[in-house]
Amino acid sequence: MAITKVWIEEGCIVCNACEAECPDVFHVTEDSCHIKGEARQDGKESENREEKAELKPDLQANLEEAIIAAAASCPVEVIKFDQVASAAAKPTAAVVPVPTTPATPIAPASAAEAAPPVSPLPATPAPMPHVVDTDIENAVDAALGTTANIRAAAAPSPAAAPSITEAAKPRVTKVWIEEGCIVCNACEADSPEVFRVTETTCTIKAGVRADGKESENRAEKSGLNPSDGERLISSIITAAANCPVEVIKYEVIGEATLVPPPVVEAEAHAAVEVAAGPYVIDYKSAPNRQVVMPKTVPLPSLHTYQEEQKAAMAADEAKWIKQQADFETAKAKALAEGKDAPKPPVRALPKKNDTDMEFPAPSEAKDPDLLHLMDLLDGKVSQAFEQSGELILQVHPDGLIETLMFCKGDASLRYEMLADQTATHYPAANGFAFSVVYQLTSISRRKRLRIRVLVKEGQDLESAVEIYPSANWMEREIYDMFGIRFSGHPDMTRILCPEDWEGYPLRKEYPTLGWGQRDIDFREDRSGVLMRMAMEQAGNMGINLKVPKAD
Amino acid sequence: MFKTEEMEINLGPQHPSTHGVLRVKLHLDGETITRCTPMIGYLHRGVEKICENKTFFQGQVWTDRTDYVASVSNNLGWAEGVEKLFGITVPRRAHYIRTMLTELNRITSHLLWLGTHALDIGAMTVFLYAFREREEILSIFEAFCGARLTTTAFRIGGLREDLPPGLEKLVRAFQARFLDCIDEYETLLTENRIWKKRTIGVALLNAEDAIALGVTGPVLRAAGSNYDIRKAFPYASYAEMDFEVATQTAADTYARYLVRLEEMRQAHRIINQCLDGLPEGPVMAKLPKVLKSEVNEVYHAIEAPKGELGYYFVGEKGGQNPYRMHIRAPSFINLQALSKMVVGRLLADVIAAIGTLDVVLGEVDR
Amino acid sequence: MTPTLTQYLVISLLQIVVVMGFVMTLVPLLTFAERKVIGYVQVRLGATRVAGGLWGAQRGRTHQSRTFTGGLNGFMWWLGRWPVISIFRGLPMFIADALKLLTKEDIVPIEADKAVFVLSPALAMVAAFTVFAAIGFAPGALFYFPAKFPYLGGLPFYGFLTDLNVGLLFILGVASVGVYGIVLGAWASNSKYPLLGGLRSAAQIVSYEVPLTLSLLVPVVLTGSLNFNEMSTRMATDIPVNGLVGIGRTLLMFVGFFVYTTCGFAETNRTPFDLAEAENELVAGFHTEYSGMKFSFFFLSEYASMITVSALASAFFLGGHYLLPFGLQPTWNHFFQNSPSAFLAWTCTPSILWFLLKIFFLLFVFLWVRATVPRYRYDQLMDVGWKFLIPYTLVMFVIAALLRYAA
Repeated sequence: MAITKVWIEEGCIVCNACEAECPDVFHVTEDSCHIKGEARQDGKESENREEKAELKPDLQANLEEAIIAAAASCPVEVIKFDQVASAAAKPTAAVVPVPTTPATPIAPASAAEAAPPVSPLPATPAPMPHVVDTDIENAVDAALGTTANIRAAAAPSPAAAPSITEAAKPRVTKVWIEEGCIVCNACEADSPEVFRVTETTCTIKAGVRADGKESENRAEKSGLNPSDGERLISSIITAAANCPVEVIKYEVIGEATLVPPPVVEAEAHAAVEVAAGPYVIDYKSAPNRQVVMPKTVPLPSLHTYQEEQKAAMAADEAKWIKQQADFETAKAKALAEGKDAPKPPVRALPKKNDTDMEFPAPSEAKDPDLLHLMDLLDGKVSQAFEQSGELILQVHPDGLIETLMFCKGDASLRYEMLADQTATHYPAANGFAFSVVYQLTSISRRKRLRIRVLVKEGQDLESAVEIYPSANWMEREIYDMFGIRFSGHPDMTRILCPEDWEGYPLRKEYPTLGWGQRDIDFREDRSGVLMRMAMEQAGNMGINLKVPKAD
Repeated sequence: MFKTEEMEINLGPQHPSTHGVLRVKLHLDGETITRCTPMIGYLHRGVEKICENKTFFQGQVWTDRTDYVASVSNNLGWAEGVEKLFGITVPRRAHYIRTMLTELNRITSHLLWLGTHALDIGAMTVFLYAFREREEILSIFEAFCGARLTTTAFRIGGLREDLPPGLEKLVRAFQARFLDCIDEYETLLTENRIWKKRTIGVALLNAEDAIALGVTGPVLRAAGSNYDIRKAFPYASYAEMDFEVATQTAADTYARYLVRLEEMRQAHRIINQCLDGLPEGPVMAKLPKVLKSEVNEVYHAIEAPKGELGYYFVGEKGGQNPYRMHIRAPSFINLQALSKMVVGRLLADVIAAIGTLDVVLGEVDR
Repeated sequence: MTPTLTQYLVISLLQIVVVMGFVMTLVPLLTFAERKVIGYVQVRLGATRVAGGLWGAQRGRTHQSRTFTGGLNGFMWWLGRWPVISIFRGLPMFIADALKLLTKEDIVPIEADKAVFVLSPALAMVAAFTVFAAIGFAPGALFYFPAKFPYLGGLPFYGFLTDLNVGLLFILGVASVGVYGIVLGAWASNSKYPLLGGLRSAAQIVSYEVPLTLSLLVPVVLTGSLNFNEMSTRMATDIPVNGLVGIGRTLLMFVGFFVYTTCGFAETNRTPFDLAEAENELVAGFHTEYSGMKFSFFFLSEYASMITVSALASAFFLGGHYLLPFGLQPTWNHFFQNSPSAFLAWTCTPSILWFLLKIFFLLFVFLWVRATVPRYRYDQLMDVGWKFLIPYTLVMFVIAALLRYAA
């Protein structure tokens, strides 16, 4: 397989991304991106849009990966290429730019002839051996389920369905600690029955070990008691995953029916709730959680978002299947007529999915706080979900004050502080114009919660000042910037802008350019013509500008 | 025969001790405050609106200009907020360097506070002593990123470059003498009778009121709470650092002074740990050249020198700019507590209260 | 030889010129000293290194360029090569300061009471400088005109203007007029911050006038005189420190010195009692609306008051024209009066040198304190005055009376 032609469609934003990925082929100039002369057979340097000259034969195969990567990284997707099967076809895996990328970007033509088209959806990991001795990293990944795998399971993929049922239940046979433990207590917090963190290192407790000794188990690698290994499997896997230096290693059998380990958030919170006094947190009793970076929140609706995603994937898939089918019929027809086989279809590249960056999908509410609030508010909650480790509760405007009162007053919630309150303008949305969010913080429970309300244009919200006095200025700021009024507020006046300011600056229709904007580059104005024109214009508008003195 | 009336007086917007363009409308009965209304907005530049029209990479520059004495903290908040929005994992070495610079920045911010606060109360010398050390840290920033005040120190996904050679030596040299410098400030102030008279029992704000008013940072910690985001919701590499949360229970200006001094000592400790345990590895995550967001929203808060600094991002589908960016500015929220602190007290206490709240008007008005 | 009236007038005029010249030179020098002392205390980089140009801005590399401006700078740099003299670099700055104050625009607010507004700085200035009429800088005659000197030959030239027999009363009376300058100026500005500053100043000076006067009553009681020179001499030399009375007297003078100096700080509106012009609270206090020459009148009167306070403190408590403070001089004299060493014998005699050195030292203390301590709050200032200093000075007064009785 190789790439014969590369060209740049119109619309290049000169972002240098392609040159960074594949400097041998692309050259980014001041105003466009060119295919280099030395890479082309005709030796010219241009965008190659009209002529579509072929690449040099030696480069065709060698630079394939780089060109695909460049095309994927192009933010405006103007890099196009023709791809043909070559005699020396590489294995599919080699085409995948990054090993963990869930989707196979290109369906190889040669493979397509022999086998049914590879599903574009995330590939399931290869079935694992029953006893994983050698490749522990893989075992951890598979057992835990990387984000990609979780997504794969959620998606309606036929490939994800098969699972191997085992006679024996899965259990951990051995656990040991490699060198490099930083004594961080994370493992003990996750699995106190197995690990004990001492002053200098971490040991496997004697109680769970077959040989009954307590040590790091690094050299001897003695096994766990079978019953313990079965019972504690999820906590051990969690501990290994949470270890910041990844020195906890283990062997496992019967992985197939493993469920992803439960999210440890709830346990951590339970531990946190032991507080020494009002507003004093006992940090020692609650070990530091690892920083949970992202997951995201869809707007305006979680369900709409999920439906859209699903529909887009399905449409994509259907298109690809149709392309494949068309190709099959065309090929059959061509073979029947004795002509050359037509070009195999090229699947549009999915977005480059970098290992370091992923958009986490939202998940349904599992947090006890959200469930509790949904019980309390019964019907006034329109959505509740978790994302980026943040809890989001969307309530109806009528139930807002009630919600805030519950959040502050309920003994099991105790959100004492309104940390932030702000709004967002959605001029294009149906049924509402603003979302107002309340960031609540529970100091005693170390927890955050976001309450979201959707507000129509001209609709008043009830003020939260009575419940949270800190809302005073923040509501004034929202009024100042968005024009949302809060009924019951003691002083509903502008705060940052002057009293006589017109308009609400943070609304989307508010212009960023305007009165007083300097649109003349005076450095270029040697003769003063532009200046005079500007003065005249200003005079017409009734603005009296002073002529600056010449230095 | 005689008529008594309250005098209305404007403290600011041009006034030596309002640290910028804060205007406080005071009603005075003699020298006793009967009413106090802070009026803000003189430095409103619409940073949030501007950032909505800049890409995620460009917007960080504006965070330097909100709290301009703690720009590195602001950069960290922005960078981590965007990383949370996109789900970017930052290399551990970058986290360590970020932590170190942020703590250095905490020291500069507290030094500036110490100097100006003492100057407001009349102790002039501490100001220049504090600036001597601040100057040194600013040169460290200059060595790191070329700028002293408006640093834009971090990049989304990590750092632009690794530590330059020799920087560690600079930091170590500073670390070696900084504890003695804090002792020097303490000899001038901590046991000074006039300083104690001016600060003990002044501008009281207990924990309940502080939390109700959303006040965070050293002001809250001086009231007995040990709420510190570095411990409560660890970010960067604070989870791996060994440090104490400085607290006091007196809830007055003197307690806040002690808390901030202790925070400088703890920052010193954290910087040492960062230097000693600096891991090897890359400092930048692999990112595409253009960040395009999904439809989502995040709120990321860090413990800035002045309190909880939160960045709220809303992303739209395929957007290269934040659809909405909001800064939860600690100075803005903390300033609400001013009138509660000073009503019924004397004019000179207003100055002490403004000083002890440690507001920066660039951040209040944004 | 008794001078005739005209001779007396001429000599008096000369004396006035000399004394006022001394004070008027000392005041700007004091601003220079303030800049330098505080600069060194606070590790300021500019104040400790500046060379200072007299005629305009510095240009080029000052110590090498030989321009008109650079010449002076070069000279100052040249001076700076020696360790002690180096602190005088930047000396011409005080002339520049004075010129700046003289040439600044003189603003009178529209709503101000113009007559009072103009008069009050003059009042403050006149009061502050009139005080020097009764202060004896030198003991007796400073020198005698040589016999061949035309018209004035053989006549004495005194180091003071008058030898008033109610000198102390005169000093206290005139000095307390100065507060009217401040209060009237503040009121006439018709502005809020000056009003607050003026009221503070009035309350403060009224409060501190009492302990100040009471603490000065101690030397009055002990010496039984109101004449400046006589009081000064007798406080220094009257009673040797050998009996209970002598020791009690020394202790009393020691404590009295600190009490008096504290009150003096308050009287002159200096840190930590500079509430009237607390720049961090009241912008500039009573002189917020003043500019140019009028402002400099207030400014000069404050520094002149500092000199007055220092002079009184050194005269009555620090031994005046004698070497040793706190009445220790008689004991010193007892041992060294007949010493063969001319120098030691000289230390037993009164001299203007000691007096000036003590004044300079006290002025330094003023600056030193300013660089070190914060400012009191208004109510705390009143507390210190009424609850601490006044009872203390009353007790001292009683003790002084007892000592007088015992002696």
